[in-house]
Amino acid sequence: MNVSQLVSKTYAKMENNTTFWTREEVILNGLNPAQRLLMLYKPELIVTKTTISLSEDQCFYDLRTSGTNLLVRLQRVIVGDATTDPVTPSQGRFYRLRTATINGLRTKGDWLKKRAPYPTHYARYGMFWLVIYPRQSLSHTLTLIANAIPAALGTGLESGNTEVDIPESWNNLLPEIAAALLLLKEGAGESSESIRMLSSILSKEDIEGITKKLASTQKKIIYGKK
Amino acid sequence: MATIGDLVTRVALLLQDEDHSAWPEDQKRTQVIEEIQRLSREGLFGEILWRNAVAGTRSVSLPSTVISIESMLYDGKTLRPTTERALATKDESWEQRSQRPQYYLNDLADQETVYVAPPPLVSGSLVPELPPLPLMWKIDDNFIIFTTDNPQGSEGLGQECQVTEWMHDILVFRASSRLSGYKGDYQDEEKSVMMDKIAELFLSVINKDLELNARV
Repeated sequence: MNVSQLVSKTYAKMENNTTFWTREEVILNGLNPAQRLLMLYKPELIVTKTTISLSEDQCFYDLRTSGTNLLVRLQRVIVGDATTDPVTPSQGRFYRLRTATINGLRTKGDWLKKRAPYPTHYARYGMFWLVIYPRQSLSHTLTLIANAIPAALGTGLESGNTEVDIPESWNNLLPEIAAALLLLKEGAGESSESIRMLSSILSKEDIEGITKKLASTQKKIIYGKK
Repeated sequence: MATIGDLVTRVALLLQDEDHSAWPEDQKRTQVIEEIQRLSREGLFGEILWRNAVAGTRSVSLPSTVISIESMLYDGKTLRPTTERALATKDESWEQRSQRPQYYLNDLADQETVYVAPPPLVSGSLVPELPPLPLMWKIDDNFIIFTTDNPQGSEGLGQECQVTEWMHDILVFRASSRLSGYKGDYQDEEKSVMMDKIAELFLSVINKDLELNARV
């Protein structure tokens, strides 16, 4: 579905009131946050693979330089290039790094001084930093597999034919979520209706189910259980 | 990338105040900046700093954007956080000794300075490493500090918003919620509460992710 179609569907849910909500507003405060909210609840909708090259000893990587709009959820970090088919090992090996935290590394004392040919763990520090442990004594190619945010929709008429990044089968949810968000503007009465609509679209059970499943999956990765 | 002015435009649309007659444009800008600071206080934005160690000097300067220190290393080794009182109980003359630093004081009265104990015996090198591996300067005998930070340096309308794009909705809804909640002719309590709930809806999913990452 393209932007123009989504805007039309959103207006249809708001009694086609193009006076109270301009086209720009429908996109800025409706469809764009709707995309982002949907991605937060269903991050598996857009999964990206990005390769980065790390030099010897380069154990801090600023994700802002990778050019990818990454979510909090970095699914996997792989040593090697997983974007090619077949995959390309890095320095003869292709494997997944295990997750760590800065707090966890802190217990290792002189963790920043440790060096090894092949790293074993990665830690995400804040929104922007990737930390590799131990410091690698060889240069490597890493693949970051992450859930990405869809590109923001442009408000100009020239962007009307732009297709959205979200898979087609989920496109119809966007005008519903957008209409619920846009109703907030009306104030008393309608704004509580907005919350009711969103609660129904993104039901509480779904939200809890997704986070429980994620926690369970993470534990399986850590402890190697099947 | 969106500017602070773009976020102010979205706030104005949400508040039905495109001509800025109810809440001046600068008030909206200030509120957006305050919401960035609020997100920063929630510890979402981390930075990694390098600081040169100077022999005998216990103070280490920090930028004014630092909110808190998560971890500090000297010569690649982790320092333990402590307080002024605990250190004085252990050794009243800690400020006068010069040895390999073992602690940093995390009860920061001055947000732009952190103290290490004992002060380092030797000065670290200031010679830059090119290419930066892992940072521009040597780790040996110097400090690496993991901080939580406020990423928004400049605050003008034309300045880029340094918060990642998918958090802009939280800023817009929170700023709109605050402004519409202020007492006055344009107060709309229900709208304020609902917009705050929408912002929390976005943030709750992000925070659940962060909790999962922190438990690993």
